[in-house]
Amino acid sequence: MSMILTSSLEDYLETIYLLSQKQKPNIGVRLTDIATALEVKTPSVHTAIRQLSEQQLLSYKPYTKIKLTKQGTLKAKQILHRHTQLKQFFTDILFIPEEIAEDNACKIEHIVSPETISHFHKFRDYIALLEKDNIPIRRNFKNYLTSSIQEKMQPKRKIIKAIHAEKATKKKLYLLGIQEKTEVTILQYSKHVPTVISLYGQDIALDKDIMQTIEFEDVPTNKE
Amino acid sequence: MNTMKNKKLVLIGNPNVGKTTLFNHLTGSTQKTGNWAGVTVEKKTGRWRVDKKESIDIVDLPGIYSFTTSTLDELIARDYILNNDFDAVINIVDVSSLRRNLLLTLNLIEMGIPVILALNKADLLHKKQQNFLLNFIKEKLGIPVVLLIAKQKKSLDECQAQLKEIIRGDLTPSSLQITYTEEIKQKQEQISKLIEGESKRKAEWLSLFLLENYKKENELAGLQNLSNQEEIKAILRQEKSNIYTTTVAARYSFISQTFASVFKTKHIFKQNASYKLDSFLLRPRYGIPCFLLVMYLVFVITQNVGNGLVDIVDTIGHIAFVEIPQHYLTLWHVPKWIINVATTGIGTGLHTALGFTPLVFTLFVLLSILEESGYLTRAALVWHRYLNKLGLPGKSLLPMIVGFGCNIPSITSMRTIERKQDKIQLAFMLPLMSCSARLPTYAVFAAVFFVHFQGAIVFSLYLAGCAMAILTGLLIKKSLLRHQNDSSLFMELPRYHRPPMRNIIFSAARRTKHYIFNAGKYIIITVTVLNLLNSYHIGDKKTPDSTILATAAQFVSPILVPTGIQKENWQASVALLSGIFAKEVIIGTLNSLYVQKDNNTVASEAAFPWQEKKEEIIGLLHDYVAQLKTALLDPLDFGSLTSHSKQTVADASGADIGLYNQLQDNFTPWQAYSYLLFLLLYFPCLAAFATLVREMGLGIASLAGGYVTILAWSVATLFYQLTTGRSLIYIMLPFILFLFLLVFFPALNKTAWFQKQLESTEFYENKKKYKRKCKPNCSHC
Repeated sequence: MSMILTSSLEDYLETIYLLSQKQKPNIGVRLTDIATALEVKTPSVHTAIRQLSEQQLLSYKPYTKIKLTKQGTLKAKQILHRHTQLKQFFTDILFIPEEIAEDNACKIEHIVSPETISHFHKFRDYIALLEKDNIPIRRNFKNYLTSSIQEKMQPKRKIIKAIHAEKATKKKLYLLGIQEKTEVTILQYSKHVPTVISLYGQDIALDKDIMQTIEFEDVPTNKE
Repeated sequence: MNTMKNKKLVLIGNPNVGKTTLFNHLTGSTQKTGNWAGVTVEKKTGRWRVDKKESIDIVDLPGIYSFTTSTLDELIARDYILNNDFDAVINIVDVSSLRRNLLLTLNLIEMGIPVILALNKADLLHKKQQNFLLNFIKEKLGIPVVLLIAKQKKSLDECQAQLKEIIRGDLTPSSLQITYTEEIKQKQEQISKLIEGESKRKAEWLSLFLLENYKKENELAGLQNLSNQEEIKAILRQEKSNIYTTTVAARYSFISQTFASVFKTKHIFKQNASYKLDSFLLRPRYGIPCFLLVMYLVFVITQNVGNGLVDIVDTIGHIAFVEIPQHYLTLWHVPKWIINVATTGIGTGLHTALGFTPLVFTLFVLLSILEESGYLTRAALVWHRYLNKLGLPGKSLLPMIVGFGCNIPSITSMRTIERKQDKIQLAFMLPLMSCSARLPTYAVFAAVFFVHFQGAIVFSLYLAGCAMAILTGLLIKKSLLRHQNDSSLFMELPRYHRPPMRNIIFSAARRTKHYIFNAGKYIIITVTVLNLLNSYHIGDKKTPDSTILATAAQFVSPILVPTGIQKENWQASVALLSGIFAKEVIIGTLNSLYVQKDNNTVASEAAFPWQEKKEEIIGLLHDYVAQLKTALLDPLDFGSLTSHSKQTVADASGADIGLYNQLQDNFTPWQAYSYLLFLLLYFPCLAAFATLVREMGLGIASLAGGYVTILAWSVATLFYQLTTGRSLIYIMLPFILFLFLLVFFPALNKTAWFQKQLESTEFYENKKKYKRKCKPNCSHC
């Protein structure tokens, strides 16, 4: 049971399995296809195939297509299952964006133990149970994520590049010390509330009409 | 024969830096407040008793950021400095906004006057930093500096001592020069050559000022006493580009470069530590409920704290103004009609109005606390989105809230609103905020007709006022101010700080005193006149309805009949008319007109029952304290007004039990509520109207006053007719009036007169009085 494969070999197995699923049964997979899918060179695939075939996970005879053995298929399915489960956990429970979830699942699946996977699985079941009882856990969490103060309240430091406001407004801005090359911190507490600009000890609220007339640029990274 | 004039010092600085605190400390009770000539800006002067031999006069100028021509405050400050002699300017600077504060300092230095800098909020720095900064500024700017922590008395005393030293020493102005571009320097020289009679530095500053603030409409930016005006104007007209941004940029560059090392020290300008509080209050989800809660608390506290005291003050007032005069005047056999006027009329009127001073005072204090702590600015920001739907900036929240205390400061605080069109819109809305002077009338009527839910009735009136204000705002926006863009916001968020209670209480006391004297003045005059008019009869029959007053009123009553006032109830019409003078008068008027005091009272005892009265007052005090405890658990009950006994409520609102019966005879409950609606909405009191005229001009003020009266009539009529009257004509009329407004306002919008109203932002074109030349050294101000 404990056929320990390197993560890259697991990836190979998984990919071969997926590729073979796309074709009619009993037709194997071509070496070049695997190379394309994993974006590696053919020799690398060659090495991997040899190693996998030593483990009795696939059968390869020169100049024929590659096929997975029964064991191989089983193993591949396990790996895929793990991968899918993790990804689903990330997207469904933690609301992580699809791309990141896929990428992370790909990486984490190799290191995570079966027991951990099992607990992920069970946690998902638990959430499902709570939701059956009308406790909208996932919805609450999603709301929490989108309105989280931590997320919004990231003050951003910027430098004013240019001010395109009309004369009277520009005069007022200048009077308060808001002019080109001034370094400010921008605070956006909520999208329904005017933005607050903080500079040299003062806080000034400007609504979006005025904010749109000010061009900002990032602080050069050599400053602290 | 004191031929030696006192030294004179002028206080100047950004708004909210602690000027007032220093001013109060130096001048104490010698301070006088008034208005700068012809305008509504407060002017403060006082005397600093330095020691036994010496006193120094101190003038507190309005808080300004710089010298431009955008606001009245700036012009007042500028003109004072240019046209008066004084020994030095004390420039109070807030260490936490040093960069911006120094802009004004540079201006002052460039004007060529001696400047002493007071670094306030020095406690934000460590001792070492304080000394470093002090010496740094001294060296770089060439002016003396003192440290100040305005909230600590010890520091104020030390600062005072240091100032004493500095003043007695040499006060030469700094010779600091700021370099501007060649182009600007050339133009500056051209103009300063033409300015005669001023020192070189002042002339240079003046020329720069003229270049910065040149406007086609007022080429000399309000400076009257210049020589060679035509030549100067010729040079200014050639100037096309926007010099102001260049000069300000140059000044800020100077500040940034000179003080670069100071600004780098992060902990002075550490970001506002109140971010956590802001992130709570500035998010609509939490901020708006919080605001509603705060407003609710304000009203509850006012009602419970203030109202209970109302009983006491009112009883004392009743004793002082009614019972004592009655007793002694009768004793001295003074003619009965004089007694009547003095007691029933004036006396009742006075103690009613004065009875409400605790309420007014509490409201002033609470609102000041909200404003000074910095909270109201956050509230204005959070409401900005909704107020914007009415076309108003978030800043207009403050005038609206203040209006619930008294309409006069509310109208005055419109000055912080920049756009003229917003001010016009507010001018129509603010009189609809039910001021505290109307409360006595609400209270009495509620007690008479709606005994079991008085609080709810009064609250409903306040709500109706708000609702009408919102509807008015929408109406004005859509019909009178068409095609104007929404207001954009530009507001500074002050730091949160503990409100200066001493200042607040002084200020509230001063305003309350003013309120009392104002009300008292009007009450005495109005009630006397009305009573006189009511004492003489027309024709032979001497019935109550045949007096001069009654007959005149009966001409006006027909207009008010649709609103529910019964035809014979001319007294109610008169009361409403008297309310135009001051809303507090109404109960007094009603009381004196309805209740024909028995003219044959004879004092039964020779001695006034002092002991009895004392005990009565003490009893009330006890009740009040007891009531405070339960009042906290029992909000919207409006304090003593929930007492079901007619007599107690009557005493609390200063009316007689006789008035009760008269009211019940003359009104039905529906009519009463309708009457209150009229009172809520109609023409503001004379003092408020006068303030409105000052701020907006006679035209807009009259329009607003007329509008709210028509609104009052329409709403009262509609209410009464829909509930009782059922007369089709009178139900239709309000709608017809409304349609008329929908046509009238847009038409008015297109007139040249109105367009001119929208444009004039330079107040000094409106205020003719301000154009009067200020002579140097005149002792008017």
